[in-house]
Amino acid sequence: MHFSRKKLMALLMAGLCTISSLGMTGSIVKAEETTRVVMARGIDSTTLDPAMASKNQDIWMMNFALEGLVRAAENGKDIEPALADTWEISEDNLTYKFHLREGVKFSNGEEVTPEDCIYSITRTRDKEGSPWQGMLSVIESVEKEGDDTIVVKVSQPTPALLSLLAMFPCSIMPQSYCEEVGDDQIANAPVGTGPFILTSWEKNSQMVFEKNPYYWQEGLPTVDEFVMTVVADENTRIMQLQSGQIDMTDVPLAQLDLVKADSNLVVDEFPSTAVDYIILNCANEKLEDVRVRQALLYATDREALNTALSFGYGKLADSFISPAAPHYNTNLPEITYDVEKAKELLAEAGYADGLDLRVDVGSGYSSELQEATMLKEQWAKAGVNLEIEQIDRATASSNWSAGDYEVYFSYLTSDMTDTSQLSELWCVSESTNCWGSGWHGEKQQEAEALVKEAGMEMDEEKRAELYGQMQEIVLEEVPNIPLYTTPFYVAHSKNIDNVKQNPLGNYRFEELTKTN
Amino acid sequence: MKEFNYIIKRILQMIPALLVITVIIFAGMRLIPGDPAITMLGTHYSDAAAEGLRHKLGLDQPLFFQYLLFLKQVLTFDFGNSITMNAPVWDLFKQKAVVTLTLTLVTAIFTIIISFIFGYAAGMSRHPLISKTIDSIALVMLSIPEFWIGIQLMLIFGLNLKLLPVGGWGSTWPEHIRSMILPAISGAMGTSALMIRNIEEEITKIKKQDYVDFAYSKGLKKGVVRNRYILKNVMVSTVTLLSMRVIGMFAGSVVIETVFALPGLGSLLMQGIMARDYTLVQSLVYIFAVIVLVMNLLTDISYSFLNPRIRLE
Repeated sequence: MHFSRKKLMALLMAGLCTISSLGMTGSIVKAEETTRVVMARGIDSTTLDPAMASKNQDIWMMNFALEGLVRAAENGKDIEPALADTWEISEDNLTYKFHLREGVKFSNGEEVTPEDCIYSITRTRDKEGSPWQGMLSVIESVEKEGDDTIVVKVSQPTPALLSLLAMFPCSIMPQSYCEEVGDDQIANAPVGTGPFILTSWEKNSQMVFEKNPYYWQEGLPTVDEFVMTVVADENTRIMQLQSGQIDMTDVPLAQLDLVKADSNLVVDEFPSTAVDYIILNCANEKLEDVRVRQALLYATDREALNTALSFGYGKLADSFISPAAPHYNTNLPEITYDVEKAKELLAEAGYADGLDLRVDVGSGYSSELQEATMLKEQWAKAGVNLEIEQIDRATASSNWSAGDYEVYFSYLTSDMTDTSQLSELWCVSESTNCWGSGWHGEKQQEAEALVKEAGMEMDEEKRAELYGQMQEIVLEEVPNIPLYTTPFYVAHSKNIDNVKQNPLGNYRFEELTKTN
Repeated sequence: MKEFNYIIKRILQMIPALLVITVIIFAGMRLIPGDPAITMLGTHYSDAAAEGLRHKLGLDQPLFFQYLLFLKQVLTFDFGNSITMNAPVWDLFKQKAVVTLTLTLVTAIFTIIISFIFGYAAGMSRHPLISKTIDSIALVMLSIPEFWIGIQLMLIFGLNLKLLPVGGWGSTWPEHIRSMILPAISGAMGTSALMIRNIEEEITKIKKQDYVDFAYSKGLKKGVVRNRYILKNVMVSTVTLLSMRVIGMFAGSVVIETVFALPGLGSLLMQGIMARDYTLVQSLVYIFAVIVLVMNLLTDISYSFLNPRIRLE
């Protein structure tokens, strides 16, 4: 080996030249014929199987390639026609007849048949391990009538049925394709009647969607190619947007001020059904007493938490149901921050000398740690000593689902245009143990009864009343301390328009436009 | 022949090591709380759904049976499907290994270039000012976190000068290489700093050896002495250090991958652990173990080439 300084310098220069010449080739702009939009987000989906998807990163991507008989309107509250253009409901509210839109084809060119609809809906309903089995169990049968009519029978009047059928688990897929490729392939490359076709998916890296040439809505989608990339670091994501490397991205609240200050970018705001709250384990002996839970509600300075954690972009919430969702009770009593009242209630409950509680925080989640630290200070004023335990996310959530926790931070976004999903999660004991809170007792049973009644009540006004009463009970019983609700934010460059995201979080990009 | 026997012996020694590793990984993954069904269901967890999912994934089978299945996968090198990602582990590994391997190679090249130039300069120079300056810069480089350097580089070269991409991996090879430059520089900083100090120290030590003086007194040219007597002896410890760092980089530089949005092995493994994706983590760790053992063997073999006084026995 012979290293002279000259040679080393020459090597270095050669290296630099190569680097800079690579820099040149990359920046030559190709003649743009097709419109291609690239969006980045922080985390990749795990499955696109409509029967198995359960996380927001899966669910929000569902209506790129898939569609149901009906779909959620942009406001997240109403139902609009999709594959079925009309429908009738029987007098007893137990039979629904859907008439298929004529000549709709799947993205593989096959025509949509009633058999496909029957197959798809029953597949999810009967799928072992599907988180949606319980909700769909109300569907007694799905049958066909003639060549273009599907008859759905339910076991009891179900006001949420249309909403349920508009949800992604009821997406219609071609039976022949699904049976041919099997579950794994459905999860990786679902075929449906949505505006796009998923043409490639490199896990943890990017999904590429192409325009579905068979899409039934004339002239849509407006972009030829849509790419969803994964960029875990938020700083990098925003820098990519600023440099023009990507066209759009969701914006974490922490970055919002920075992005809004950039005059080259546009930030769209969409109301959301997401509510952040603190779950109190009602099955825990210390928190079993409702006075203790009420005391904690009074001892929580929600205003301060909202300002710090949502950077002022959140709105205080007083129910686990967001104001952007239907049946939100607008007349709930105001929650006050009152440390004296909290102390009183704690003394009544026998904790005059203080109370020790533990909160489980996902390690590495700085906002949760911040939330816990603030809460520790706030609760300390009422004599509650909050111990912060940092454990990894999977352990924390497994402790939560096993009821082995005291205080836990969480949030939920509604997946349907109806109130029944969240209400049942929170008030019906047998399904998820009142969403892991272990809430029980007379009041809980009362709330459960209200929710069950509302689940069968076809009169909208009456339903609103029932759900309203239920929200009052929940607020009084405090299985959770509602904190705030934050909108969804999507930032994009100026040449992008018509970005849509409904309050359920679903991206709707078929009308997305990009001008050059 | 002796060398050949040595290599065979080392390969045979790997077998029990790998067996022990399978037990450790398998037990390790099951001992940490949480399970894939819970993380997969996330906020839509219910006991019934979790039970159904466990059955579907075969997680309700006896543990010993599950371990045997893992052993079978290991022996046949057919690792099965990742639980949470619906894709064969081997395919995922190959896909991500390309990224990580490229990153590791480019980083290693940058590391070698930077550290040899400065380490050599610092070690050989007679002016204390030069070595002191290089030492201090190396110390600073060592203490700056990788992600900070990464963000600064992206700000300067990506956002302001628009010379290089702001993270990402691109879709063609020229794009891949271009996107590797900044991450490789950020990754090379810390390692180079270590290597610079090491090379410098070794050179100053070897400079004072008798055989170097002897070489000079034989009348050999300065350059010859430096390259043939000094540099070659520096190589042994440098190769050890570099190979250790390269193995580390290959098993995943999660920070660099995250900051630069590179879909590599580090993030894959991290995600697998977070999701309690047993098959994915078990198989990846096993593959890493094989790679580490092979790399160690290769490093040991390379010693005998670099320094004939070291014999393989």
